[in-house]
Amino acid sequence: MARIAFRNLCTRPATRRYPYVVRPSFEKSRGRIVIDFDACILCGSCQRHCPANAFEVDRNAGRWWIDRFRCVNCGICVEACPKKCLMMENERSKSVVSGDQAGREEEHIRPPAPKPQAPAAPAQL
Amino acid sequence: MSEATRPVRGPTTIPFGPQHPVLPEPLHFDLTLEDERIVDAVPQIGYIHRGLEMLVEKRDYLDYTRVAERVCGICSFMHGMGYSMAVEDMLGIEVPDRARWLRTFWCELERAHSHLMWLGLAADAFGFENLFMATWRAREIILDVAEETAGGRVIYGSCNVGGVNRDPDDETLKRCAKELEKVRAEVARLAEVFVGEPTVRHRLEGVGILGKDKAYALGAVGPMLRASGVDYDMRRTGYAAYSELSFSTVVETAGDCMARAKVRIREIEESLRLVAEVATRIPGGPVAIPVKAVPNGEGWARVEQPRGEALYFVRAAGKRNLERFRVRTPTFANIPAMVEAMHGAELADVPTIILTIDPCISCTER
Repeated sequence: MARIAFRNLCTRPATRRYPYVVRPSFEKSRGRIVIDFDACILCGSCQRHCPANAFEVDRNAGRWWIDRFRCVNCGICVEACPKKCLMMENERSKSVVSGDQAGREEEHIRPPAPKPQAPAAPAQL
Repeated sequence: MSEATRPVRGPTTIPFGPQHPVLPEPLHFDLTLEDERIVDAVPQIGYIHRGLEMLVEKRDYLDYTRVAERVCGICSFMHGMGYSMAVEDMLGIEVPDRARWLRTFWCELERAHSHLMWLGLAADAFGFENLFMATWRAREIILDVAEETAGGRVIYGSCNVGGVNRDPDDETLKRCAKELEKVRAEVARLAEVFVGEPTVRHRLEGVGILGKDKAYALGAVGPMLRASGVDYDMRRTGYAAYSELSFSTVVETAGDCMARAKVRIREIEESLRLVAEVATRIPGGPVAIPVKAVPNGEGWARVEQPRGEALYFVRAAGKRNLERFRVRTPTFANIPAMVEAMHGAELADVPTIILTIDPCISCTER
């Protein structure tokens, strides 16, 4: 007992001064969801599978949206994504310290592609 | 004071909880006291119901593993695994060998960290804050190992129906097992304090005694039952890789709070030994098989969680969403035994007795 007490007196604190000192993430940690939006086909699979309803995908508006406060980092969307454009990064999101909650949401909008021109009517014979 | 003016003392009923300094989760008791002695205790739960069982009707049955995991924040992997095992039982799926061994690895990690957490909370309950900090510091190493191998600290998210979705290589597993040697040494040091320190013994020894017959008759499970001298462990049924591992079930006979603490301390030791054994003996091969079946029928699974036996039941009727999912959690089974252990105890010992069943109210109410 006394031995443990003395040992604790001369050891360094077990905690870090977060957020100034951040523990490096492990290679396979589930940190945060990132998207390669160029490869996304807006199929909405992530939205359907997400247990926390963190996604909103609107194919007509070309919009993909995530609420990082709702996301529970379970990784179901990464497994469900047919184009593998959703990835799990091992770094966690930064703590939100400002009132405006910067970094909470992430939104990508792709302007709808121009409608393909109707094929020219074949010349009447 | 003469006999005539002394107030007549009858039983007093006082409310205990749902908000109480020692309780991390809401649990209410109506305690009937005669002087300082408990003569009756009526438990009441229902403050933290979240409706997770109902959610199985809304989610795809393969996705639901991640919801099942969130039934509990401590024995989360085993909830996910229990659900997966029940679904695998329903579908008649054989899980690959490496997946079974990895599940065992994570189960035992979870048991070790859950018991360490409990030791800390117990120390906190009887007012030994330093011991609480020291225990949780040792636990941190286990959480790091969990994050390195499974991806999450307490919610592992690595169990799927049909296997696991993470495959840490053998070197990582061996390195992790070596890292856990530090925890073993630390636990040995902490055990000295828990078992030998007079102040701790004063709070735990002879408190909340539960006899062997009572424990069995009231359906207690897990360390609560084993501390009363009943040798009962679901791991012996041989799920995951337990049929291929040799392990001893820790049994104590005193039936008091100290016996429950001792059971958990020795189980940490046993779990860490099992983790090391799994890391050296784990077979190679695939870790998951694809599951495409449409669920139909009923399935069961029983697993030994840190708090005791948990039972899972699923039923499906040919749709992607299951009809019913039911969990019988160990805390629910232990509540009658806890009430019995409180009879005759002093009011000041009630928090310690409640703590020694390691209550997980969120699990119980889901």
